[in-house]
Amino acid sequence: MKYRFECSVRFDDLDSYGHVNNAMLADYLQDARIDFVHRHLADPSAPHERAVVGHQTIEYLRPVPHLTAPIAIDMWVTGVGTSSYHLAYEVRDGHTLLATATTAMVAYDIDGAQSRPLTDRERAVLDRFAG
Amino acid sequence: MARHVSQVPLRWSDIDSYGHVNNTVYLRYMQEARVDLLYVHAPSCGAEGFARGMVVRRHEISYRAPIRYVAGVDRPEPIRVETWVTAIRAASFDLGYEILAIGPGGDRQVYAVASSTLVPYDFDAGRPRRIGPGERAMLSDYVELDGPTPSLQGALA
Repeated sequence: MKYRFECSVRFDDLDSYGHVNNAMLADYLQDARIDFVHRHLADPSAPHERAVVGHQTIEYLRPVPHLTAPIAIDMWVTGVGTSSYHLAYEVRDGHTLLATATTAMVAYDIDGAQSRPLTDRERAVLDRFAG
Repeated sequence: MARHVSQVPLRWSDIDSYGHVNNTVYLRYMQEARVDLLYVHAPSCGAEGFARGMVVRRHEISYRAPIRYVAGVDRPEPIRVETWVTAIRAASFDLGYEILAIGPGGDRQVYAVASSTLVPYDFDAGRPRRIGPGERAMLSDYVELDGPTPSLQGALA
């Protein structure tokens, strides 16, 4: 199952070339991921159990202009390790593919400032969103 | 061959609620270094055209260590971004980057290793353009083929 996030493009996301700056795509991916994590993955009773980005790729296929309608970010899980999971993304305006991306997320204990094993609860959620 | 060195100041707003520089900001540090190399430095080395237009085709980045910013305790020096060239094609080229700090003893604390594919772009014509001879010569001065590359290794467990 893919997770879809509707992402607004703000006017000040654009750079002097008149399109969304390349770095903003990472913000859009992050907004999609955070929305997913807070709705489905994060355990409210364990706020220290979070994840950090270990590795990221972004392929820029078309420039993103200013758009008044949100762009769609589809996100799904491509792999689950002991203390990491992998996400893939497709960013679209309507049927037009704008960008694709991957992130490797490392499960992280914020209080202990170190990586941690994924919990069974997280694994069950990640399995539901496997692509 | 030499690497290009940029010193990029940190901003308080680079920090997220985890107390470290947010992953997206690393791409902005790379961008500052790239603009410094291609738009500020390159025109004085016979490569004027890059500043007229460039788009990013791809980024890859491995995050190796968090960058922290604790006001009043250890306010950081500007972050050091080293940039070099790993490939030059007809109408695109690749850069490598290390984002790091150099300690008092000369030790290198590497926060991230990254790469980008860049395409010189003619915005008036709305299409990519070929790399000119002056630009190729300038890029050639920064070629390093055996530098570190981003990879999934280390992010996996």
